[in-house]
Amino acid sequence: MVPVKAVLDILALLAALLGMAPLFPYLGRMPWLLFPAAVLWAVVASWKRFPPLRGWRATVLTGIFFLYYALQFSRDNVVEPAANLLAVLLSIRLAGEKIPRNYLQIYALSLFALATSTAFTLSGAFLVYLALLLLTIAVSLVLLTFFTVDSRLSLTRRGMRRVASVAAAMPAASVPLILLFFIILPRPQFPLWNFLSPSGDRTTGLGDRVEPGSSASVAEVATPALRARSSKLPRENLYWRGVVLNVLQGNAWVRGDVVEEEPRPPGNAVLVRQTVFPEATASPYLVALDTPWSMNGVRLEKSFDLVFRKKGAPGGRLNYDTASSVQGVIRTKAGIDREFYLRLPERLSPRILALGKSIGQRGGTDSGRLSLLEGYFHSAGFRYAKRDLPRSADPLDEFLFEKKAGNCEFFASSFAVLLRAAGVPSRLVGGYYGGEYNELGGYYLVSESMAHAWVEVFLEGAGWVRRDPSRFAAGFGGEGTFRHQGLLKKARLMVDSLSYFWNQAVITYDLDKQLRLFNAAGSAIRNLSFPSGLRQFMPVLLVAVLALAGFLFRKRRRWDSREERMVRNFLRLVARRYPHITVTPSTGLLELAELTGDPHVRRFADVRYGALYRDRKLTESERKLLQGIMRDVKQARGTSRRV
Amino acid sequence: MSLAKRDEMLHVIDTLTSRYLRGKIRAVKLSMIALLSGGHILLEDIPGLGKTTLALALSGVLGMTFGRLQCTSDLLPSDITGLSIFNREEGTFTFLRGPVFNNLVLVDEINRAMPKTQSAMLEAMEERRVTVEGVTYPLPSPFLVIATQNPVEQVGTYPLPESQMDRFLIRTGIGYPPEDIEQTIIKGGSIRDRIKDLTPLVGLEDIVAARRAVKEQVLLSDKIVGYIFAIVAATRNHPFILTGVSTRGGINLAEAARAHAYLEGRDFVIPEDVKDVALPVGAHRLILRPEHEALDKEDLFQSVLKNIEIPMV
Repeated sequence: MVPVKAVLDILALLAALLGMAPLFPYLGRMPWLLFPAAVLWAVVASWKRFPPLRGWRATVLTGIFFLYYALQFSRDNVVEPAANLLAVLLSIRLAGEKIPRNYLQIYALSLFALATSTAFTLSGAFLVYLALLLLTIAVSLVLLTFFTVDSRLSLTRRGMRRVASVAAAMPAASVPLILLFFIILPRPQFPLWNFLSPSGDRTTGLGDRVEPGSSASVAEVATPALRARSSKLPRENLYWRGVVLNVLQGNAWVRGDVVEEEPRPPGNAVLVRQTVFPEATASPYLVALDTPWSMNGVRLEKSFDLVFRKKGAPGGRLNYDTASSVQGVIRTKAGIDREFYLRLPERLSPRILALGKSIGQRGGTDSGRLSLLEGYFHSAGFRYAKRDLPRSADPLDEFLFEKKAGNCEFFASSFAVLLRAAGVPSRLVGGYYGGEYNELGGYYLVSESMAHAWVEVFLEGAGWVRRDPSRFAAGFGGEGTFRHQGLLKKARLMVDSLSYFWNQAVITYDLDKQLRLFNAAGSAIRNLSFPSGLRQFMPVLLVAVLALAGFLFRKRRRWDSREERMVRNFLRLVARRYPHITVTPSTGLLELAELTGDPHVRRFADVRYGALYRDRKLTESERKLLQGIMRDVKQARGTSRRV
Repeated sequence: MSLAKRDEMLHVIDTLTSRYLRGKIRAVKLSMIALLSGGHILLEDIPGLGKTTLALALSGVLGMTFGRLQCTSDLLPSDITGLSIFNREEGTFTFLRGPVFNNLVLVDEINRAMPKTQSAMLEAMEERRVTVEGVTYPLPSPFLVIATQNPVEQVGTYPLPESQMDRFLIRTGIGYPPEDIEQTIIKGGSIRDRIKDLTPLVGLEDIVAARRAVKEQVLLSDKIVGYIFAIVAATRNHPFILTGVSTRGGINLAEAARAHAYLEGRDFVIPEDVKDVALPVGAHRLILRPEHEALDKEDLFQSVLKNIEIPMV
């Protein structure tokens, strides 16, 4: 024998764990400690039969916590207090007394907790949690109905199995509906929390400011930045172009106004097509393989330096198709504003200025100067580093002449500055370099740790040419790939491809795709073509088909009359009221009245038979009478509970 | 709308079952049904359970004339019908009516009579007249035969052929009375003497009027006819049954159901009426296949009934 309460306790615990698991890493300190403690307490309490936290104590505790977190709410800070409050409430309920109402609250809170977790992370694991949670809750709810009737009820192992399997079948039966709703229900273009906290503090490796020397080290964040479905490309082509920074302000490269310079499309060069699925970020720039020429699938604005900026609010799941040429050259129709791309800040290290000047004098032409500078970077013994970066007042100076070690920001910044000092137009490009090709999904995974900066140099006759000074550094070879190798890497890629499919199929499935689907279906129907002769007979054919269908339907099953329905409903009612009596089609109403001994059934049988076997229809008053009797039976069912 | 003479009939049943034939309600009721629908009844049970007492009490309370035949293997047809005897004074043959010329005839141990006598009896039951020496004599009306037979005894009996079983509207057992009632019966001793003093509660006219009411006032809906037919047809298609219920069986079922509805105070027949009388009316008419002869006919018929849907529309 299995006590229902024990099973309910276990399931409630399971539901709470399932609901909290994805939310747990994002909780504040207090709930982070409180929840495991509550789980532990619940386990021990149900095992050792401690007196539970009951009544007013739990209520007071709840009130205190509610006040505490309510005070933290603000327009910019909604999700976190809500998540913490949910966790605390759930903890109190877990530790508290288990009455049916509290079980229900645990289920609801678990669901809310799981829903809240989507405000922090949207991954494929959510679906797994949700499915398991729904299953758990469905079984629990069915068991709860037993529990409310008799809290000390025990079921046999077999009975429990049957109850559980029937309950588990309910969510399974709803799967087709879920799929249908997923396809047809409209949904917003942005995740909900975008409206809740517009000033999200998500950082990305891609900003519109590159300021070397602003921090001592670069954090390695392996979270995905974007996924791009494309064919496999050589590694040296994997520059993902994001933003062009064209103005140097002090030590920082920023994006100033874009000067007018019409780029010339690459003509008949081979274009690489990709579909890019960026992770949700606060950055408005749309990243694509260098050099992107066109983008589709999102509202955007394209500037002259081929930077694509998303219109509207930042963030949100989206994807776009791009076409890029991979030569790393942007030709322009006319020249460029040389003066703009040669501007230097007023305060520049004299050593840098002198080095630039000397290269400018020795080089002769722009391309000569470029190769001189490259030679300098090649031979000066620079080292690629992510820690212990130059942090003095003039970090570029320190980098070039003292430390000779830094990350891509230092290389690109100093390279571009020196070019400008030497009189060669240059600009900085921010984006990503590298990427791991996922053979399973056929896409590149680019992580935030692959954020990169490089330089574009303008050479007369060629156009803007991509140059990556970081390449001259020792120790750069490993950049742009994941550190892990072997099995771990494979597992990582496998997990990531699941995430990718989830994003593609579920997260980015939006109103736009729905509309496209409907349009496609609509045009498919419109474009159905028939031979011209058939078109005229269409209505006739349609009527004939309908008539045939109607005939077949009628033949198969007569339409139920109102009276038949009424009797059927009544029989169902009686069967529910007296579950121990089996009602078969060969059971007469009067017989049923005798079996049940129920005067309601007797009255119903008398009235119904009086009309039926006198070969007449029910009169209106008789019908009312029967309906009244059915109501009585229903009410009797409600008040007298049979155990 | 009241059913003619129903109260009187119920009064008869009440009187009999409460004072004389305790524990035999079903048998008494079925006998009344047989009487009201103009059929005959075959009581099939071991001796000593009150078959004869039942017949005697019925005749006494109904105010009907009573004749009794104790069947033996040498009983002749003329012993039933009567015979002409030469009247020496008048020099003519005068017909002396046999025991069959009574309203209620008790044929005890009918399976002991030889087939010739049996068929003479059964013919009289069916035709309700007797032809002796070229002269046809009508039997009195109402005419009810209560035949008894002992199903256990086999030696020296002539079991009724199936065709003749079909002539009985109802075949039923009596069964032992409930324990407490049997104890009081044992304590009180035989009631044969008291039955002799029974005064009729109803007259022949009452019975005739009641019969007319059953026939004319009780409505047999087409739905019920369909239901009865479904039962009959099912017995004919059953794999265990060689010969199902005949058309006469169907007619009898309808008549008995009517009488049942009448006794229940309804002027229309419902499926439960049919179900209630179906076993005593139908079961004995079945002829089972040889390999299934050991089955109880009533059980088999009950299983057939369970599979027939009640017309609810």
